[in-house]
Amino acid sequence: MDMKPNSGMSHNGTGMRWQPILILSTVLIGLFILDLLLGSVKIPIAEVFNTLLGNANSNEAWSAIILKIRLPRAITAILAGAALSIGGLQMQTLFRNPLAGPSILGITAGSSLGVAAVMLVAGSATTAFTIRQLGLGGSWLIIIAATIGAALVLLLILGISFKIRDNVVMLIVGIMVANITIAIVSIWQYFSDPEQMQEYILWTFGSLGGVTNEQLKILSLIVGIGIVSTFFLSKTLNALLLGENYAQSMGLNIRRSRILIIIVTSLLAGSITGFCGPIGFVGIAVPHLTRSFLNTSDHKALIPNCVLIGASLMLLCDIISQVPGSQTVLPINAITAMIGSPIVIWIIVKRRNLKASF
Amino acid sequence: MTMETKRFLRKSPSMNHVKIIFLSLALLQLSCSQKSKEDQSNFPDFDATRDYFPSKVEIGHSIGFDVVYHKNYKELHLFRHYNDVVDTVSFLLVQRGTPPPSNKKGLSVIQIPAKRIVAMSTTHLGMFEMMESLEYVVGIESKQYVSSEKVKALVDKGEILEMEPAGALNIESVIAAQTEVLIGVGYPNSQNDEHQQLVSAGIPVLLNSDWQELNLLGRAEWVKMIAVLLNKEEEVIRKFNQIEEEFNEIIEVVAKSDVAKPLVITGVAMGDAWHVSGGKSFAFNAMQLAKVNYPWKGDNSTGSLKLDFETVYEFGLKADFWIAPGSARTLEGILERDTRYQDFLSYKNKAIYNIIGRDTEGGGNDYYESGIINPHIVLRDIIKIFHPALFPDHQLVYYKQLK
Repeated sequence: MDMKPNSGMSHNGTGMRWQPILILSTVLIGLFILDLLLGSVKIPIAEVFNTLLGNANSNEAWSAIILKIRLPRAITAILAGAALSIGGLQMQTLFRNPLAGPSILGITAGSSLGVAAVMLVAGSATTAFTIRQLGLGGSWLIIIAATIGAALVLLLILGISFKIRDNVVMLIVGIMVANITIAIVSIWQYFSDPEQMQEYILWTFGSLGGVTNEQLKILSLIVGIGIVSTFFLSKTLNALLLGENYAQSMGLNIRRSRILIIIVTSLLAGSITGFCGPIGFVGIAVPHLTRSFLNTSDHKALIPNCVLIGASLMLLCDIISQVPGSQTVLPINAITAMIGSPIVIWIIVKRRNLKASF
Repeated sequence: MTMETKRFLRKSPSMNHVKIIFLSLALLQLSCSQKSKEDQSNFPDFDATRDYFPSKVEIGHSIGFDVVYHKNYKELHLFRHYNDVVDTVSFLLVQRGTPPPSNKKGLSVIQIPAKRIVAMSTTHLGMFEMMESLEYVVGIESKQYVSSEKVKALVDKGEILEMEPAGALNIESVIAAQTEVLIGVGYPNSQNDEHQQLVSAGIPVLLNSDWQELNLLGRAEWVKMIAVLLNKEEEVIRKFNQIEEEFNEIIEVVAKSDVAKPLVITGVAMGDAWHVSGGKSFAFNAMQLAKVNYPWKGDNSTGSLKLDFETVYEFGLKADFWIAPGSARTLEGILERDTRYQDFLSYKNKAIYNIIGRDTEGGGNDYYESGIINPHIVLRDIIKIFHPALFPDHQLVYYKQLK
């Protein structure tokens, strides 16, 4: 294991290898451009580059499609892929469990609860009126609801984590909290109209295309803060891998680290779930993929590569979900699971010593 | 039976068995003899040669049902179209006081005129009101979505019961209301357990699929199914012909004019997908009668067509009109869904219309109630939107311009 727990945070430190980062960055840029080129409306390649370079496009509709639809969607894919992968990495390290992901603490379920509260329960006239009075509506309302839902579950988990030191217990508590929220949502669904239910079910399919340019600024800010914070936590994460007792002996405040990791993950997973819906599997698959690609457990190397691989995988999923050449679109959630599951199987079969990483 | 024998029977289990067998045989005998005599003695007023239904409806527009008349009963066939498969369910509507046909065993029998009906969709309520027959409705789904003041008043008085006040059909209420027939809504592949339970409790369930019709008149014609249940053929023929006549007159007006065809888009994006009205849907059929240019007119789907956002966006940028943008009620509401809609020509020109002219606080919409039986008014609304000069005096009823 390439472990240097005491090395500093410098990017030129020994934990960092530039070669994979260069390769992955090239792949990412390639997929990003491909995502902008492919879509159901056929736009000549030259026109796409023209528009991206800020030149006037001969067809106004085309430039609007590229700048207002494809570009925000591609950037959203990058942010979502990066945020969920980093969140998954932190959860897998914190719980030292290869099956952990950003949704493991019930954060995604909490977001779903918030969204369901708006879409299903607000169907009754009085609630809808109250919401209109607040001046909130449409997509912002969904985002705020998802964030509040995630925050409430997070508070609960944090409260419990103050009491309980055992990570396995925390894991079980998280899964149980998720189950409770799912139960509440299903009761609401049962009493809802088909149209309201349809709206909610569509949300659960996930969507990268619903984030507009204004919303993208806020999402980028949150995800940016999350990723930078994770970089600062890499030393802590490395220490946690060696076991809590060892980490404690190194002078690490386990309780504080745990809370910080939970907060950062919630921020990342909660914001993506709010803006894009509950996107599954990337968070579990990408950390494994990255470890296998780099053959290391050092978080200083894992974190940047996780960001790149997560973003690339999400772009690839987005390209596939657009079904290039057709006029239809597949739900992003189905695509991530369809691509994510074989990856996890492949890695587990290939690396028989999976436990060695935890 | 003396006390002695009773005691003896109780003491001897074998004797008990004999008694049960004997009793069952006696009952069987009784029921058999009753059945054979039924045709003659139970219907003393039955005249086998008389035509009990002198006026007969003909179905000209609907693809979802048909009626075949016999002397004292009618056969009602309901067709459900799923993709290319047509599933038929048949019922025997038998005149009260006359015997059901002996050669059609196995079909559910409904005594007509039916007097205790549960109507689960607001689309049925408009039809009952048109037939002036609300007194035969004993139950509805829930008052929340109802527009009709008359129906609401009857619910308040307790004369009409709410059978599904909390999301699930209360089967016990339906049975307790001595319901003779329940008219539900048929969806593709619905294996509705509740409906199965009702059928096994002896309450026939008629699944109305008016939403599958291809045009406005086809949807309105389902009122004839209600009339057939009530033996009100004469009235329904007169009333429906009137509507049909008026509808055709409106079509004539548009057909004769040489108005330009505006470009129209429908629906709204939900997630990454945008459902527009299919090229064979009744929503588009009505717009086609009003002469419009529609990007997906060659499509073959009867419901909606699923497209991705940028496909519709490309047309949306230059479309003159935007019809039925989901649940949006105002221009502001349109932007709340997605700010990219402000690029649309229809948004800039405020040429966005939704079916919210007569919707209710509780989430109901009269478009799905009286709108069903007023296809002529719906059509006039649609034409008014695209070609206001053709009907200068008409005020929009079911549609409304977003402000």
